[in-house]
Amino acid sequence: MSVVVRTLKPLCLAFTHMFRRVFTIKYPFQAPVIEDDYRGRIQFFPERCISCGICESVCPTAAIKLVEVKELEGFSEVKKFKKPQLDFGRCCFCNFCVDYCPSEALKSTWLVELAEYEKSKLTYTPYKLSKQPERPKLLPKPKLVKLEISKVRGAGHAPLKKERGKK
Amino acid sequence: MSLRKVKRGPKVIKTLNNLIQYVANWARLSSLWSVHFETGCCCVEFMAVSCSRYDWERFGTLPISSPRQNDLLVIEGIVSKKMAKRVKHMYDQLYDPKYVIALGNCSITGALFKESYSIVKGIDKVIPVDVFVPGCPPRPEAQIHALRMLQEKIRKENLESGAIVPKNNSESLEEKTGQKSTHSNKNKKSQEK
Amino acid sequence: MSPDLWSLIWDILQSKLFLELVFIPGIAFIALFTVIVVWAERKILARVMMRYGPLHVGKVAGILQTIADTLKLLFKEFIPPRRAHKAAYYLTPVFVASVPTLALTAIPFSKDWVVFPSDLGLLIAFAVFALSPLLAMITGWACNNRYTVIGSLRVIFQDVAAEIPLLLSALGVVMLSGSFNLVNIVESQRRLWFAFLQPLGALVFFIALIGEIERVPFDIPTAEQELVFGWKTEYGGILFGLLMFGEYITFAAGTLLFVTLYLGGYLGPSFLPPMAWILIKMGILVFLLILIRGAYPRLRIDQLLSIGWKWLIPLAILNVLVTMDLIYFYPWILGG
Repeated sequence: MSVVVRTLKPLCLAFTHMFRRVFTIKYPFQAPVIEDDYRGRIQFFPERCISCGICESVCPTAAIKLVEVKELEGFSEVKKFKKPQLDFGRCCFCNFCVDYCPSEALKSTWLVELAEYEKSKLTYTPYKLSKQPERPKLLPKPKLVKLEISKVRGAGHAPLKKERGKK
Repeated sequence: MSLRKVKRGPKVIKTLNNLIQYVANWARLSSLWSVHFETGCCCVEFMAVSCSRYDWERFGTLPISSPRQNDLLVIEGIVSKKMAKRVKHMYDQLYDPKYVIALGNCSITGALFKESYSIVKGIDKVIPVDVFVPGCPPRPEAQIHALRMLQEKIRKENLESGAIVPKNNSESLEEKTGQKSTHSNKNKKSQEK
Repeated sequence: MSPDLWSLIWDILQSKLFLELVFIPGIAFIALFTVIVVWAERKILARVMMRYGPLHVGKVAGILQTIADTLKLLFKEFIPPRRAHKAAYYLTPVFVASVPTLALTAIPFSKDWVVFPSDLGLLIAFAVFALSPLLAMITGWACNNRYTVIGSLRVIFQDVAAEIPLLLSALGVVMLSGSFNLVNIVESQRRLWFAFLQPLGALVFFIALIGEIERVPFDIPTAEQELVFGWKTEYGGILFGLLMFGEYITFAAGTLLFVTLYLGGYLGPSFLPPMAWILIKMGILVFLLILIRGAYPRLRIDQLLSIGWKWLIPLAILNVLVTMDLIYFYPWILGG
């Protein structure tokens, strides 16, 4: 008898699972759930940069390289200094550069959609790096969450009301 | 197996050719059956994207194990020089039209292991790559974004501007046709290497 | 064109055989069944795993997914392997797709809606089923690949293990109805379905049928984790599409045969036509088989063989003996 029960149990389980709530996030049409402090695409604030070069020396993958910036490139107010250029094809998103930066000129954002058709476009010049990451119209802003630990449900996510993206 | 481009001839034939190409492109982009070549940790994120939480079967992909039936090759993780031969072999086993996504920084440039003597610095030196997805490893969202970028690329493939394509895309289309980003050219490249 | 030709064409269009060949159980039915069942299978399996499945192709619930897949396979190239037998490589998919349709000709969709009404309808269906390992063997051998050869050998092992209990359990039905004619078998179920009269035979037939049509948990010939895609490994493009098409026609024929033998075929309350009843019963059975695919893991080949030879065949023989006893001692169950 136990053989019959053991055989039929997975079938009943599969049938009941059909009527459960769907677990999927319909990603491009629904906001993704991204943890707070997620390390995504790095943004550069040129007016804060002091060109010390710590980010270059601390980068484990040698993705950051200081390059000379010309005025034409969009930094007319900033003096001619060397600014970081980041190759996202090499960056391992460890955020050492953000942590070590003495003047907080580098910040991480939650943008993860960095795919490109060409490899050369993955190298971000200081000017491209300094741009506020533009979200395509298709992609909604991520729903920010924080870790919530309750005695009933265990570890879980709770929505965060304040959105950090607005600066 | 791309359709032949019609250079001269009546407009009807051109339109008909474009119509067939449009239907073929639509069919190709909406059923990208995928096989993945994993050598590193990125395959864990690939599993995440094909499982319940992100479920990229929504876009018509289907994991099928034989390379003969697949359209999409996903290269994940670090590729050593010994393994590069196998990657090339794997790519050759896929039937046309075939597309490649390079997942993760290891397969794009070699990332952390770039100074090593035994590593291929970028999988695009071995086989043609359609979309590069940076990340270490890339999030499932980034992979879905890459899949949609690939779909957009396929949608415009081999189409001549003017006939069925909406007006907004016509400029970028001309760029694409100028670059000759068809797959027959890519195959020649890979064979040369 | 002369009026005679027009009238001839009109007669052909009106004839029953034409309707049968084109609509039910002809081309339209097979094509529609394949399109809907492939889509439904992906959706149901996705829901069992608590996800959506195909969703964005065709706007509404991915309804155009199978059509997109078919079109893509049509626009894809296929190359025979270098050492393959070219003629066999190209021809077998056509036969794999067309031979199982012959099993549909024997199945009654209503009392007078059979393509090939015969007194040996059941044997025709079984004969067609018995052809499938031969085709798989030729396919596997023609590709000249070790995976395809192993896969085709497994098909032969499995079909021998599943075919014998299938025939033996169907014997009970034949004894009860006293005929090989499928219409007679259905008509003799007017009082009680044979599934209730001999549940053991129905169970054995069901399990053996899953093995016969090579579906999970008995999809050992195409085991994706062991052999790459079994005997279909070397096929791409529309040839692969034809192989899958043949698989789903076999699926349709198998479920229809089970419904005809055990679940009363086209019988049902009269507010719906008989054709609708057989399709509804078939749909429920297809759903059950898809759910089984979502629930159970694949068995090993030796486990399948031990189930087939050690359990199903003795149980089928026991079923035959019990049926003989029933007929001899309690003849009133036959309705006489």
